[in-house]
This record gives sequence, structure tokens and C-alpha cells, in this order.
Amino acid sequence: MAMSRWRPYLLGALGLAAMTFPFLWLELRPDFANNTVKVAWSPAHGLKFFDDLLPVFVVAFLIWAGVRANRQWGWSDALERNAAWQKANLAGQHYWAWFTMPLVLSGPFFLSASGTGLLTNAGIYMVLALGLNITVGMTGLLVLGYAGFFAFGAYFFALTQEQLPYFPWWMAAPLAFPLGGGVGYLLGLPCLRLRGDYLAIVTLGFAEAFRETIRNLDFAGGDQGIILHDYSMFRGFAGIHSGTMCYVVTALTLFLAVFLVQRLYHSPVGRAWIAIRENEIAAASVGVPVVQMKLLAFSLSAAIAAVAGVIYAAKDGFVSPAMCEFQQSIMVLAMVILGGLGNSYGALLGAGLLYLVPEYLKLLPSTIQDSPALAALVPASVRDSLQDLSNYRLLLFGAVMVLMMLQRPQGLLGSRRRKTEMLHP
Amino acid sequence: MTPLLETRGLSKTFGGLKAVQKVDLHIGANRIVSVIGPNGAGKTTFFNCLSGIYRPDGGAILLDGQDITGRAPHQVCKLGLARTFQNIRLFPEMSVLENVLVAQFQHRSISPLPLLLRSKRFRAQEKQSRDEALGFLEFVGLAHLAEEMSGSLAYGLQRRLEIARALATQPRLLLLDEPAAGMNPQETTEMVQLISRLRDRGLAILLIEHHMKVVMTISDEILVLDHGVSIAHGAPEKVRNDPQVIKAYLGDEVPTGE
Repeated sequence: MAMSRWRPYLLGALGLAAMTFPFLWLELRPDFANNTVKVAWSPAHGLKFFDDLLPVFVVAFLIWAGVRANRQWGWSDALERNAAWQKANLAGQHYWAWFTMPLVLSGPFFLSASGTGLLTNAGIYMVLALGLNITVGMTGLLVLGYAGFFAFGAYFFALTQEQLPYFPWWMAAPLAFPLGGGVGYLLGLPCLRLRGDYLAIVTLGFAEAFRETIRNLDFAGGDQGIILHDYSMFRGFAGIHSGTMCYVVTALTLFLAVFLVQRLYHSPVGRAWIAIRENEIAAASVGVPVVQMKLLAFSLSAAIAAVAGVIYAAKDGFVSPAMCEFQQSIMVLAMVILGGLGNSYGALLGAGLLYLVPEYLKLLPSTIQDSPALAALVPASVRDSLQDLSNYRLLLFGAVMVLMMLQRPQGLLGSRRRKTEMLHP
Repeated sequence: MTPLLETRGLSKTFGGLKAVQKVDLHIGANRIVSVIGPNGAGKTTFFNCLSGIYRPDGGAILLDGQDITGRAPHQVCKLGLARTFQNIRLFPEMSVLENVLVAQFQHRSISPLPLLLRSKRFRAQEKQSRDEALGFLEFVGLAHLAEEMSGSLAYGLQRRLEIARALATQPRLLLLDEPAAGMNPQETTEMVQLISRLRDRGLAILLIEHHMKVVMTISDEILVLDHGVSIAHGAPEKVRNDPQVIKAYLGDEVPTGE
């Protein structure tokens, strides 16, 4: 009984060990004298790998323990049974915004410059996750190349400011919104008329094609990307640091995006989106113009991503083809899924967690080193392996995603109803 | 006088299968017409053609004299034809009330500025929608469950919710696809009452149903389909005694060998 439960794991581990054996436990040493390569059995090599992986095991254990504890004491069920907080953020949405806005905007006053920078990046990811959530979470259309629109916005800004004598970010951002939306509309037009997940493939193709195109265009800077003019970027003035400026603009954009999405969500449009996700045929036969509503959702997603792209470019002063790598798209998708499909606040939470946790993990070793108390408490070897943890973040994302799908398919803030749907598609 | 709905030689083929062949039908305002026939006779395909889910291969559909052949479902709905589904198609993750609210989409203005700014008029419209939706729920007897998740409703109540949702599109003709399927005698009686109350509201109803008792009590006319072909059409009494209908349901007489 107990054995049969562990058998798949044991078999998997054995299979993995067999497959990775040559890479982990053998070492290839070039023998220059004889002009050959010698293969040597190297336990140190293999043990080093497991040593490196230690933090991954630790995190995996913590997640496992969390899942068990949740099952034991029913935390997530309690959270759902107590629906008061869910209703609160639906009904009183505008009231709490007046409290959070000043709090968020005053961030730079009590944060360090690097902390402000981190939160700015997190804010940009939050805008992206919020935008993608409209299509993937609310309307139920899978998009695999969302970063393509992000890069489109950034490159639109970078290329235009090179051609024009003066084209700073505050001129580009409002223009990126309709332009990004237009690109989304044109891309969605052919594939949203069809049923099925064509949009996922088409957007994936768009992002890859966009990347390859700008890599090979001389005027777009190729692989090197484009460095922006100073006057196009965020600049400090009257004693305000440029990083602060950037933070404030990102925060305001985020608030604007939340406002836009939430107002739509609690309107006939939002209800139509959800109805399409729930049952497309039924939605059409109660009078929802399915194609138009899907196009609206997708264009809006694209428009929001394009604005985020402009802000990102104006912050870094640099754009490159790496902005629309597949990994970026998947990262934003993972944020939406982690936070809870269809829930805007879930998307914000997912983005915050998936961006900030690895960044803080990166900072953790130096924090430990700087504080004498922590340095005494944490052995040096653990500190060093924490250093490597952020290298394994993709591995961790994968593990977290699989666990989420098994344990909480509706995402952290998703509703209970989502679960039943995911389990019985 | 033009009939509310008219089909002229409506046909639909899937590959080699002639699901619906040259069906002619007239439905007058405020009439209840039932479509019956053995399983696979093409009843649901006929409904899907009418409501725009399938595009018919031949023939024409006229709603109030206007040609709606090949129109998209939401356009057909806008012209006053609503339907329910045999396999219930609710929006399970939405509340009972929201299911009905979705169906008011076409009667709502979605111009962006008032929507984003929540203008006074927009809020008034939202309230009106809500009140109307509650009215429809009241009509089918679900008002006390308005805040429940529709996916968690009992089966019979889900069927009622589908009817309330269809009513919210403000149709003139309602297509009901097996509304009493899987119901116990008590629920079936209630459904019959609901359907006659729908007629009292001034709706015309086209009904697919297998319960013969239901069909015979409430229908004004009956259309019998067999293998996609209309084999009989007329008053219940006439159809009941039609030899062709009996043959379709019970099979041929066993030939007595010579």
C-alpha cells in the first residue's frame, strides 16, 4: 500500500538518476598530450550538484509542508468560507484605493534607491499581469506571446524618439495605448473568428517573429538593442531623483490600469467576458457579440502591455530583443495563474510574489553577511547555497506551477468556482 | 398576416448525413408548437439552425418576415429569438443573478465614458438591469437563490434558470430544448405550468420534448421529424392518429410471410 504510493516517485528518481548519470558523476578531462578526452569517475562532481541543489530541496520541502499543513488545518477552505473579504473588495473598491494610493506613492520616501527600483520593476510586471489577466483570466483565451506587445511598445518608443527631435516618454505612453491596441486588434481579427486556441499560437508566433525581425534590422539595433536619448527617459527634477519619478509614474499607471480593468469587470462588458469564458455558445445565444468582445479584451490587453513597454524602456534607457523572449511571456502567464485566473488583485499578488521573492532571495546572502546576528546564526555554507538559489528560479517556478495545479488550480486569490471548472473541463 | 417564424425548405447536412431535410414550418404569435420525433431525428439540429449556431445548407428562415438565414447567434437573439439548451449551458462560475444579467447585454449601452466614470445614468441602468433580472428570476421561482452560484443549483432549477436567462433577452419566440428532460412527475407538472405562463406573457414557444403527456397537453400544433424529414404537422389529435407517426415511433408492422 505505502509502497505502491511511492513507486512512481522512486521509478522517476531512478530514471532521472540513470539519465543524468554521465553528466553528474563522470568528468571529461581533456588530455592534451595524447589529444584525447579522458572520462573519469568523479563523485565530487556529482556531490557538488546536490550541494548546489540544496536550497531547491529546502524550498520544495517548505512548499510540501505548507500543502500538508493546509490540508490538515484547512486554511484555504477557511479563507473561502469567509467570503467577507471577497465581497469587500468588490463593493468598496473605490474606498480602499484612496488609502492605498498615498501609501504606495509615498514609497520612495522610506525606501532605499534599490528598493524603489525593485518595486518599480514589480509594478511594471503587475501592469503586465493585470493586462494579460483580461484575456487569459476573464475571457478564457490563452495568450503565449504577451511579451511581444510589451516589446512592441518599447521599440515603438525607442525607434520614434531616434527619428524625432523630441519624443519623451510622456508623449509616447499615451500613444502606445491605441497603437498597441491596434496591433492586438489586427492580430486577433483573423484568429478570434475561429474557435479554439489559435490565439495562443498566433501570439507566440508574433512575439518570436517580432524578436527575430528586430534582431535582424540594422536600424533597430540588432542584438545590441537601442540606447535611448537622455531626454526621452525618466529624469529627475527639482531635487527629485529619477528613480523616484519612475516609481511614481509606474504606480500611477498601475492605478489607472486597475481602475480601467475593474470598472470594465463590473459592467456588462466584464460580465460578457466571463460568460464567454464559461460557455461561448450560451453567451452568443443570449446576445453577447462573442467575436467583438474577444477582440476588445485582447486589444485592451495588448494596449496595456505596450504602455508598460514604454515605461520599462524609459526607466532602463535601453531596449533589446531580449524583452520579448518566450520566457518573459511565460513569466507573466505564471504570475496570472499563480495569483488566480480572472481576479485582478490575484494578478497583482502573483506578479509581486513571482518578481520580488526571487529578487529578495538574491539579496538574502548579503543581508545575512551584513547583520552580525544573522551571520552568527546562519552557517556560511547555507549562505552560499542561498546565493545559487536565484539561478534555479525557473526550476522553482515549474515546481510551484505543478503544485498549484494539483493543490489549488484556481490560484491564490481565485474563487472556489474556478476549481470545479478546472477539474471538470 | 406574416407568421412570427417561418422556415422554407430548411436543410442541414453533416457530411453524408442529412440531419434536416426541407423542413417547412409556420409559427404564429403566441402559439406553442412542439417538435417531436425519435432520437436522432434532427430536432436539435433544427433548433441550432434556427438560433444561428449552425448555418443551414439550404432553405430560408424568416423571423417576422425578415430573413435571418445564416445570421450569427447574437444577431438572431437581438431580433427576438431566444433558446435554452438540451445539455444545460449555464455560466457555472457566475451567480444566478449574473447569469440573467449577461443576457441583458444587447439592451445595455456600453459606451465607454459613462461606463468608466460610472455616471449617474450608468448606475441607474445597472440598478434597472438588476431589478429586471430579479423580476425574471421571480417569474421562474428562483429569486431567493439569486446570489447562489449557478453551477451549484439542483438540476431542475438549472433548467428554470436557463429559461429566466432566455427571457432576459426579451424574445418574442422562445425555443425550449427538452425542458422537462430528467425531471420527476412533480417537476414536470411545474414545468408545464411554467410554459403556459410563458405563453400568457405573450411569447410564442417552439418546444422539443419527449414527454408525450407534456406535448399533448400544451401544444397547439405538433411537428414530427423523422430522419430529418417532416412527416406530420398539425393539431395534437391529428398527429396522434397519423399512421406515419405511429410507424416512425413503433416501427413497421411485421410483415406476415406468405
